[in-house]
Amino acid sequence: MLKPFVIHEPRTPQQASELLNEYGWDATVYAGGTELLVVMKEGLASYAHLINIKTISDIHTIHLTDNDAALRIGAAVTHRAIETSSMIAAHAPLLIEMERSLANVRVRTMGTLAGNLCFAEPHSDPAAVCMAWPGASFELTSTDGVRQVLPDEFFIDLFMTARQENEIMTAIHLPLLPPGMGSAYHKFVLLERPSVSVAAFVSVAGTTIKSAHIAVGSVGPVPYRATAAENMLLGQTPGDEPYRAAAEAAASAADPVGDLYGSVEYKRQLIRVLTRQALQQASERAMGVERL
Amino acid sequence: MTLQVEHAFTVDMPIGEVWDYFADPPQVVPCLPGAELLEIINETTYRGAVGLRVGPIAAQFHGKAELLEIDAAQHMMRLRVGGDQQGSPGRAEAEILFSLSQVDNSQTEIKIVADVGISGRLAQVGGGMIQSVSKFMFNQFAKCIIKVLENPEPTPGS
Repeated sequence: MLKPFVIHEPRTPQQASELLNEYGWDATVYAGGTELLVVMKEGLASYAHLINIKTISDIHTIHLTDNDAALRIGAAVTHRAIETSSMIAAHAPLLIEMERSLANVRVRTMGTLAGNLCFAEPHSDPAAVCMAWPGASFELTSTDGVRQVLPDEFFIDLFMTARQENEIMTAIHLPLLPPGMGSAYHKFVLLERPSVSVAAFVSVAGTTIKSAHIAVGSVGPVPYRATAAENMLLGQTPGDEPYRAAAEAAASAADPVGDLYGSVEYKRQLIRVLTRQALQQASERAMGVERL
Repeated sequence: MTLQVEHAFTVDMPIGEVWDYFADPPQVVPCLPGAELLEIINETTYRGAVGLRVGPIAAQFHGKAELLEIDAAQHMMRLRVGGDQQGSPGRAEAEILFSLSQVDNSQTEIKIVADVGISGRLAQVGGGMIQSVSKFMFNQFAKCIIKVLENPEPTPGS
């Protein structure tokens, strides 16, 4: 049973921040409610005040920014709006691929990308994708100003982020991928959320790998970058052998936590398989063998 | 859901003094994250409340802590704690083995091994990644203990 609460409807991020300052721990930010209302209904969270950020006007759009070099996705944009956006299809098709497989259509219709990131559930699809996305950042706004936070600074622990109590996430910034870079997102799902997920971004020039970004999600409290695996790939020729070696390195770098989605060893094996698959597909897309 | 958690940390203090501090459980309560001592039932049984807060998740438990065994010579004690979740059907129980070992004359290692059982909806939260919560809470506990033991508040009037 939901306990009674008051809904506040600020018009600007600053007003939302003022409300968060005023009510402190008795208040939280509410957008889609697909995560928050579930835990509130189960009696696992209780807030007397919900700050509905959907009434803030300029956080509902997806547009190009930074001289058309990046996408700015407003914090009130739902998963479904991203999935069906022609802007996203043209500039960041990987996001559509990720969104299509996120939870179910009911969740995607109500839930927002920013809400998913801020809730920081350890099995978040967007968290892993953003963690690997070259140059991605999150815009946090409060009465103190606006700041950009990188994903690896943002995700601190299970359900914990660098967002301060009086801040709201106002946008997600995703730079467009340069020519010659391919991306892929692979996951294994038994329940509603992934057991393990891997996002990979690979740049190939001629027959040489120029850069690799790999992030592994759902394995522990927060996604991690497989940096040793990334470094091993630099200067290599795309192919099964370097991908297997990198996948092994990504699996050894993991510190898996066994949970309802899989044991430690099960997750480690999935990292090996999914990393190899994601690297393979990302590099094929980079070389134009496969189009996303 | 049951799991075993094990945590350890070191304080700059001789083992005897650390033991004296822990041998008086009510003294330790302020360092247990979100804990409150409600009643001393007898020398070995206490009634208390524990609040757990991880990001947006908050759960309150009311229950008992019982000292099952205390061995001053071995610097070891065994406790059983259990509590019912408030406002939602759920229960958490743990059998905790607490032990001290001497690192050298001025350093002591504090170690906790606990078998934790959690039931109810809380066990599903985060896909059951509840180990992380125990680590997070233990780190808060360790920080507090180090602060209290290594920088004691000056006794008023001394």
